[in-house]
Amino acid sequence: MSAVNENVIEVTGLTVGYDDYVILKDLNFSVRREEIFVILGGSGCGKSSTLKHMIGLSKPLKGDIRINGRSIVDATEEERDQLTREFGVLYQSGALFSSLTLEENIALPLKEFTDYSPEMISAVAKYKLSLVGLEAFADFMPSEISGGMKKRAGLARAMALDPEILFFDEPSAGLDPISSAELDKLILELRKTMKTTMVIVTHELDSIYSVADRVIILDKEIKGIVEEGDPRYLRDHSANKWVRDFLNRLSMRG
Amino acid sequence: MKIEKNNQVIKISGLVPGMEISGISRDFNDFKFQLKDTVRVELDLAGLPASDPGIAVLLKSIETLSAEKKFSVGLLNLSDELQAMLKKSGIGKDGSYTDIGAKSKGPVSIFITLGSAAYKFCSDIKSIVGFSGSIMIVIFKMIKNPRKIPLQETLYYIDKTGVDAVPIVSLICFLMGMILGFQGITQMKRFGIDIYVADLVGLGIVRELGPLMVAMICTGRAGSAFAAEIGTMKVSEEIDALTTMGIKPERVLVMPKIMALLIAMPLLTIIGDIIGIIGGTVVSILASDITFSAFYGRTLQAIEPANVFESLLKSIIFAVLIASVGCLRGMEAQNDAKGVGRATTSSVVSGIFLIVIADALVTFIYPLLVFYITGMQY
Repeated sequence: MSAVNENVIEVTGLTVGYDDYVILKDLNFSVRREEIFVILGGSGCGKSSTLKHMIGLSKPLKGDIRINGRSIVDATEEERDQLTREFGVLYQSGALFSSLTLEENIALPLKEFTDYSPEMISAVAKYKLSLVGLEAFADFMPSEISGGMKKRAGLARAMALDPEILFFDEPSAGLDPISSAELDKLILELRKTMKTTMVIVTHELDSIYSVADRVIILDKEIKGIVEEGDPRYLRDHSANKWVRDFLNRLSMRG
Repeated sequence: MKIEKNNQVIKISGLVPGMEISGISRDFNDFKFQLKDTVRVELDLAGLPASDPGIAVLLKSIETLSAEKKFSVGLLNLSDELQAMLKKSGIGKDGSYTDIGAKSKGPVSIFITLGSAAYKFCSDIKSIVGFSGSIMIVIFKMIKNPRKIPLQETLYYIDKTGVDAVPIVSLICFLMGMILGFQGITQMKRFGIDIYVADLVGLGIVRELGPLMVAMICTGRAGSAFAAEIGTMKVSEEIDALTTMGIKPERVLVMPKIMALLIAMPLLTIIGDIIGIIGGTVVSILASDITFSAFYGRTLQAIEPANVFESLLKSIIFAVLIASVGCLRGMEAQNDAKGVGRATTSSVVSGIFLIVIADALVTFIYPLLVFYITGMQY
């Protein structure tokens, strides 16, 4: 059993941007095992781009990202395929495959990467759906369910291969406060039962106080991390007035 | 509003609050008329309140003109409120109106237009080469591990692009055969060689029009559908989801489509060839005294195996082009609703372009190929 305080993800000297346009400069942070780590910032500060780099969808301008000690930046294609199996991603819109039913959506990664029998795959998929409270909807198409359900189904699919790490891109975007709170509750429950490390990108302050263990706050003016720590502590005790105001919803820069 | 012109400098004064926009536009035409070889325009804004909508419209219009005609603008008696309003509506750089002329870009030079077109062409080629490369890698991996061949999806697309296209392919090829036959007969009758219309229809359809018409139909039906489908998946992050699952989109999304067209299009082409010849037969029997048996015999004599092989070769090449261009354009789609539309349009346009080029190449090269391989004159 690995130590709880061990770093699962290490980001060093990461420069986020496209072509010659730099959004964020020289980011350094790490995510510890079994913690819920939140990347917070206003719109356009580059938090989603940072996430895209962390899951290997785009190549950073500079710097390195290591997941369990292995770099995703310099990985060959085979190594990257290996690495991607260690994490799951919940996309902003759920990103369910629209031509497949919910059960087939979750079965897809299982079919690809396991040699389970079809009955086993179906059983595992149904079990994952029950974890997010959607077992009754296994045969529904993604277009037939609500936005909140899509996100939960997307979460079930992200967990299909029991990944060590889960990434969330704006989990509360487009949800009403109640569905959003339910999703937060689900995240907390899953962390408790599955011992998953979670990285959440968001601008939603409500959910931060209920789920986050640690938060980094990005800012587009200084192109980097303004503050790092426990959000409840930072809200009252941060040395930076802007951070205190931001966390108290007094100001929203950007 | 008073406009005075003096030594390449235009002075505008006498602006009053509450000007009608229609009045301004009339004076503005006057002003434009005097603009020739003007280097500077000065506006006296004395006594104008910031809330006046007319003045903002006037200043915005002058700013646009100044960029185009390259003159500088100066403001006299600018009040603080007015300056704040200008800053807010983005008129004038930093609220100082004077250096607006410097921002002007002037008309776009033909070199810039040519250059950016050339750049776009080159980056297009680059993405096509990159795409072909990743398809090749996927094909080799699939050969190594045949369990990974997505058979089910391929069958689905054969049904959608092949079976469903049979009626429209039949109809269009039948009409093409009739048109070709009728055009041929009206000319050949005058020379008394109307029996050779069988050669014209047979060879014309099999060597050229059959594969070409099928390719056109498939570009419109299948290529555009591929681009729209993959483009939509990209917008809804489904492609990203596949990638982060470690599943190659090229394998599960692109390969089934290419394989399906590779199977469906040659079959459609054979159907189209046969039906096209039937169309030609019908019109020849109706429009001249050729009997069915004469036409039939002449057709069998005219068409050689090499002709049928050319038909199939073309359809195979077209199939690869249509499927790859459709999928590539879908993959390149921008992440918005317009992006999918553009991708679909562009898949059809570049698909047809590539088909015609490939058709020309094969048409010229194939006879040489036949000659080298069999030693026969084609």
